[in-house]
Amino acid sequence: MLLELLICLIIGSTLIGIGVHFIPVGGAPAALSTSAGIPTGAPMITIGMGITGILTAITFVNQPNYLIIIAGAIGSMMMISITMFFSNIMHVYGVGVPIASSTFEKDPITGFNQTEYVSQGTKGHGIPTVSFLSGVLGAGLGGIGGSLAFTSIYSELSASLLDINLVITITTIMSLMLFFVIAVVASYNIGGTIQGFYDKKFKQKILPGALSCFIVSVVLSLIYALIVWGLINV
Amino acid sequence: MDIFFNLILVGFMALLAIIAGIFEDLESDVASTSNPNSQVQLAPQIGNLHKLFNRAVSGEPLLLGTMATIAGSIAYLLFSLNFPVVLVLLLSSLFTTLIQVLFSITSYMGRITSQSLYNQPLFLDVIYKTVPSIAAHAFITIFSLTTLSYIMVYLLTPPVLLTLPVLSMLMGVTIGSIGSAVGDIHYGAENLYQNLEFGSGIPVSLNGNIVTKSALGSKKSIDVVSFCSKFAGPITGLCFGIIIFLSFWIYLVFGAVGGLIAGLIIIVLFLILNFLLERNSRINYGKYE
Amino acid sequence: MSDDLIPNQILFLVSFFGGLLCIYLSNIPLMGGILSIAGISLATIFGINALRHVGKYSLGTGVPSIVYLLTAIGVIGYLLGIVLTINLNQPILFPIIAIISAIVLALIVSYICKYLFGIQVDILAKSFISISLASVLLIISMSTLISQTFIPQVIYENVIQNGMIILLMLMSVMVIQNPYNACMGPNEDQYRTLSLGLTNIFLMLIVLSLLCIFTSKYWILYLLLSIIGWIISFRKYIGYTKHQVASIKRYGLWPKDDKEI
Repeated sequence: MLLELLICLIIGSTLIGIGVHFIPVGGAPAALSTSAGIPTGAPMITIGMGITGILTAITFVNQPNYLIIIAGAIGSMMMISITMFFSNIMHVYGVGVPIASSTFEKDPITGFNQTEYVSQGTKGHGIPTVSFLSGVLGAGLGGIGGSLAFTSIYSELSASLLDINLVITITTIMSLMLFFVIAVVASYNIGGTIQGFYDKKFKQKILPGALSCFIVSVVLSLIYALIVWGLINV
Repeated sequence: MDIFFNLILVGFMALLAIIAGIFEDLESDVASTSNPNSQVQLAPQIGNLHKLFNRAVSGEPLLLGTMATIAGSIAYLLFSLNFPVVLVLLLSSLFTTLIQVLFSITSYMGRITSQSLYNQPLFLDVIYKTVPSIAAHAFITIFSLTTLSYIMVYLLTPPVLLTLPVLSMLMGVTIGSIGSAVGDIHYGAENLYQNLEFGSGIPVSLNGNIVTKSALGSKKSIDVVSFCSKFAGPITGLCFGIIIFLSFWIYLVFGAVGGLIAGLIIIVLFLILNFLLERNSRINYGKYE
Repeated sequence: MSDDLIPNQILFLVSFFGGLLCIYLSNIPLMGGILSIAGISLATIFGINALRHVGKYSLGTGVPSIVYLLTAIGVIGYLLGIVLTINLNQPILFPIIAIISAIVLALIVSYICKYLFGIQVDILAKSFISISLASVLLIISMSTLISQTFIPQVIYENVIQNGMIILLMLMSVMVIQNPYNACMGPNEDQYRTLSLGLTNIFLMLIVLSLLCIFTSKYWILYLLLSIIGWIISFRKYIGYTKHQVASIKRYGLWPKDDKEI
């Protein structure tokens, strides 16, 4: 039983870590239209989307496990797609810039040329379609990871603890802590801005990122398994 | 009947979320909280002294998350003491607003004092004039967030099975990350740099070269509200409202599996909308000249 | 960052041993709560000073992220400490297990940063360990204040079951990261930053002492103590600010050149 939990937690938190790399993050420069991407730090947008996924997963607790996992992914993806769309609206109608990024020549999905539309002295503005898709994929991975961790802890705890309110509160807190740790570790790897999987930076960052998130998640999962074992026997 | 009541509640939740989003963004603009604040901090360094409010409590998600959690915890405490609902919501939000205001004042004084090398004075009238506005916006935000969490925990059927502090923390962090991802662009890229031509990003070489004067005297942070409330605030509110509304509505109307399919369709719809937006912006604005 | 006026080692020794002592003595009826308040202040000051050292390096994302990474690690260690000591029936070991597991996690993360990500900051491991240690001590002292004892079973019922642990976590993130973040700049000063830290912690203690209503009949005393502490530390902070600021103006515009003040 606990071995199953351990494997689920390792897979889940590694997926969160890989998902963070997919999200197009611009950091502080993006809030000035100096760089493309979502204008906030990588950890916080990841935690925000993870929270929406967990919230959706909570409303699904009485459903079968695979539905909870899908629900978490859908919740996260919905949150990030709406946020990115409104962020783009802000760029287009509030600042008056076309959406483009100079980290790649041509958008592979829409075929739009990028560099001609980027203002001089900046690295782009807004979230182009390929970065948008990448963000949705990353949110999907992160949402699957978060809700996988959520379900595995929940099903272990709910089998032995009676108070469902208590079980869900503890489970939520534990899955949130996972997001807090993994998202920051992954964003240290990214180190600033990234524009999703089509960025050149992605290829050199993903391997150490995935490896480090795997190591951290193994250690975290061991501790979590101990905590869950202890909570069952309280 | 049950589903009808729930639908009304979800609509009301979306309304509260919209209000919370609008005022959250305006509060962060008037107090100059999140990423654009880096420019206000940079300005004295390159010789641009200013009279803007300059607060670095923390990032928006953390600040809002902490404040919402404090409000939620106090509300939880007062509920256990059997206070009436309206009083609980009002008292907890008022108390939390006080804490946020104190944090704002100390943070403003801290950042300005640490820049004394560049001769940046500490303006007392900035504190007196800006803080009431911060307090008003913060109160509405926290009140809406606490009411939203209260509805989710105590009124919705089936309720969200969390305790009030945890749920209000979730709401606070979410609204903070949305507010900093959507609304702040208008303040950072447009309002602070109105000396640049409309329709271009801010080049790195011009960073810190913000507007410090307005039509009459110095540029004040209160003026930012009237600028940002025309576009940035409502859009942020709409974004948060839509997220809260859709996250509950689709499962109420279409059931569990149908709701998931509807969610997938919504994601694809937003992908297409984003593509159309990108194409139209390119056609209308043209290449950079 | 300016140089340390109070050396970091002294802060470490005082807050580590003092904090542990305060935690273990929190069983005493009236004094326990006051000792918890002392433990909270000591842990915060140590955390802030450790953050001052690592905060000047750019790690790729903002200063707060360091703190909430390490506080999340602290919370995980704290949870492990609580459930293990309840199961082993060894309440005395609870702070020790929490501290050790948090330190091990922080060490692993700092080694990953050093060897996998290539972040070349010499004091990274030391600072990560210090901040996580401070956050664990802070969260444990906060929960001993609420539950009036350090026995894990009581803490589990009073802090974890109703989800208050999330409040304690966010509060400790806030009080550790805010003073340095708010006072960052070329003229940052240790005394001013630490006095701002004390101001913040007493502000948070006002909330915490309200939450003691159910567990302690002395909650009003703690409330008074926090308000008095807040007033004193706030006046101290204003004093340092007045002393160090370039100039204070009631109205008007900024000076035109360097000579005019």
